[in-house]
Amino acid sequence: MDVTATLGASALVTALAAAFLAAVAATVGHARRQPRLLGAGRRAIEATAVLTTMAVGALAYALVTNDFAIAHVASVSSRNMQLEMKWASLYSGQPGSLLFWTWTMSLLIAAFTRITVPRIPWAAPHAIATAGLVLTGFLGALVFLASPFRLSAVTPPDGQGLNPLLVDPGMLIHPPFLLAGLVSTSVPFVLGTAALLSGRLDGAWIRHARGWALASFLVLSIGNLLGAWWAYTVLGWGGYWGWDPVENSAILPLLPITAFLHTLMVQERRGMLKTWNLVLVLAAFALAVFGTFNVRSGLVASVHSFAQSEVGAYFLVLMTVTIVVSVALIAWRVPRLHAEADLEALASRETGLILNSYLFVAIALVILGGTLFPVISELFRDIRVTVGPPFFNRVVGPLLALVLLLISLGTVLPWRGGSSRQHVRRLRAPALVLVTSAIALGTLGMREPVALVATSAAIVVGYVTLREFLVGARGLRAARSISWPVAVVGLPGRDPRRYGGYLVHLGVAIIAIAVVGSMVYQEQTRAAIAPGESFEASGYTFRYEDLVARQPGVNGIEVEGLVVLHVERDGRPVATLRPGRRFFSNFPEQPVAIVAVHSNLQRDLYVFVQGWNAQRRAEIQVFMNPLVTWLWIGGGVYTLGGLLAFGVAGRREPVRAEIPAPAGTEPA
Amino acid sequence: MSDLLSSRRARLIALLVVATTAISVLAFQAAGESASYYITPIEFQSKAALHDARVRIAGRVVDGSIVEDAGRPIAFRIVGDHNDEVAIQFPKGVVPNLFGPYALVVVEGRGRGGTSVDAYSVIIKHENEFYADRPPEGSISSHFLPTPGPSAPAR
Repeated sequence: MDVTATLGASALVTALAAAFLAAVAATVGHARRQPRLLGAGRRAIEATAVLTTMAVGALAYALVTNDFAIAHVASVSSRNMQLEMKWASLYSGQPGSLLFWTWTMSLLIAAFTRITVPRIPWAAPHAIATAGLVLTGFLGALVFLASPFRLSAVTPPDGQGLNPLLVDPGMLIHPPFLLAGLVSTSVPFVLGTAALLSGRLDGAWIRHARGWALASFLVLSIGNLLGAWWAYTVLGWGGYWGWDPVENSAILPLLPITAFLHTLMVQERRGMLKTWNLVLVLAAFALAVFGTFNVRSGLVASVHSFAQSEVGAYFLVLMTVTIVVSVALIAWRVPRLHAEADLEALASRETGLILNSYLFVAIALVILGGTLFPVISELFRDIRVTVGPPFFNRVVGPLLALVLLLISLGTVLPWRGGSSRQHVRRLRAPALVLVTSAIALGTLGMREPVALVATSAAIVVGYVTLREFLVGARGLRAARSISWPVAVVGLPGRDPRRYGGYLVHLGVAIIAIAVVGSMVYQEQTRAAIAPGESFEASGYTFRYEDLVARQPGVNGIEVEGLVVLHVERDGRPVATLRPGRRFFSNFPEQPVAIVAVHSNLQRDLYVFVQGWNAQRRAEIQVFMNPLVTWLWIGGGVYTLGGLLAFGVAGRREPVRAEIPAPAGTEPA
Repeated sequence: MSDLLSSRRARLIALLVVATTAISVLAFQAAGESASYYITPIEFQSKAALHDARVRIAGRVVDGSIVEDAGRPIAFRIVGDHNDEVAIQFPKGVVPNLFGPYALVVVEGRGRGGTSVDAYSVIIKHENEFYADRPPEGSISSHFLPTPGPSAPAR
């Protein structure tokens, strides 16, 4: 008997029972008006979190102690793996990632049970029951179909080790963030479902959902940004987004969550779009479950997918149930979902936010349609037809440019409309900047229409953000005499949602400019040269000095061959780059590229080696990618904005006047 | 509830309908231009309509079939489940990580006469593995596992 495996498996079975019991206790407790049962339900949810943590602890222990009797450990780990890479092994593979997903979900939901459920007594039983059922769904897969603690028939002397492609520091943070982000859509889902079940469909659930949705937005965005960064620096094909089905699955839930963060404002202020907000949070979670189904089912072939297993069918059922139940609940509550006000003008903030939702939904449907195209075509025409990156770029590109345009002009639109004169006054400056930028860019040589619209709109977003910060800081300085820098930094403290939002928009604009630059103006050069020779690429001279070997001796790496390149521009040295190939002991004929990147604010020089022969003649590829550094800078601004938006607006304690108490009475 | 067809709402809905039509047209056009058939080697060989079409073929790289120039693979053969082989020409484009004999690849390119494909992209596909007591038959891992010595019996 393998003690670790038994402990881990028992913890999971108990967690499954606890989650199910939580749902039962909450339901019965509500029906029979027994608050103590509800309390038991809450504690059962917390127990689930503790138990899944124990299971993760057991798996971690098995990995660290090289317990290869456990099949999963043998498949993703080996004796010569470094300790930190074993953290990555924890969530690699089908059972590992499912365990990580369920663990993160149980922690989040336990936190939700502690923090938010006490504040929603009118929906507490409904929330706990829903949460319990969701956890039961995922734990069921873990216990019955994809147990991480299954023992192999024969214990191998050493494990296979992690797939060579995954042996990289990026693997230590990208998957956890992304999995956590996908999982985090479950909390707004639980809140929305609880609101529907309890019938309390005014702004109450929105108030609580906002914080969790913002957290989900932030973590999911960071997960995707990290994925792009990892694809760029590690995978070595020169890009950061390939429209791979699994990449698409990761971005899909982000779209309704972002739309929700915007339209909830309309419900808060005007009592409109109640049904739509519910649809958005339910859709976000449904898409997250779709994502996990997609990866595990092999439905659409992807570089990521685990493929072909019973787990795939199980998640298809889970996703279908989620969608059917959501639709049924909304249909049931339609009579209670009246808008409290009407659209008063087309040129208003409300319309702008509705258009925001429309565009995000359009993008989501296009991405979903393109990803599922092979499945749909096989159903109808009995042959699989795929659409690749050209399709997505051609359709999503213009839509994203429209989103940027909306950001640039929409934030100055007033609520409820306003007179035409007001509109002209507010929109005049941004429109002027837009047109001027477009003309300037056109003159400088940018002709591609989508690029022109996107870049001009991005510039306007920058202008509007700057103006808002300046105006706000000036107002703050007028109220109290402080310096400019203090005023600017103090603004998010005064109105976190607004200024945090501005920064996120600014981040998006910077990212847009970086994307346009690196996609539209990329230059590629290939050369096959021998040591001592050199070639030209994008104004730089690359001289091949020599081919050297390096033997790290860890993580299954046998040897690394590096091509030493001296880079010069106009006779002055720029860098020495060492791209190469990494060979693994277990997979001697399947090398992995080592990419060498030289970055500055203007461009990245992205260099990799495709191979060399016995005479050391090597084929080298150079991509000159303009403005890529701004992609990461934009991501940083975006993240900062998201974090600031959490803040509670600074409350100044009113200065109390001291009123002396009458003699002989208690102090107040 | 106010009149659904109030002119403001009607105008907004009309705008969205027009926009949806435009997006759909764009999407169908783009799909038509970038569509490629996702097939296996045997399907490529047997269906004449595919012989010169834009295709995406999945198969395993045949050991010994890789032709190199300056160390970079420029041609190879892939094999499907029925011992059906197709020749792939890949003179340009990025060679993916883990490319080599027995790798499971997806080649996107244009067919040439039903016997070979001019590839513009090659990507590696994740193995169809669920549990890995032993790696899938024919995979890279199954060919390059270190030979096990006497091992401990399962407890």
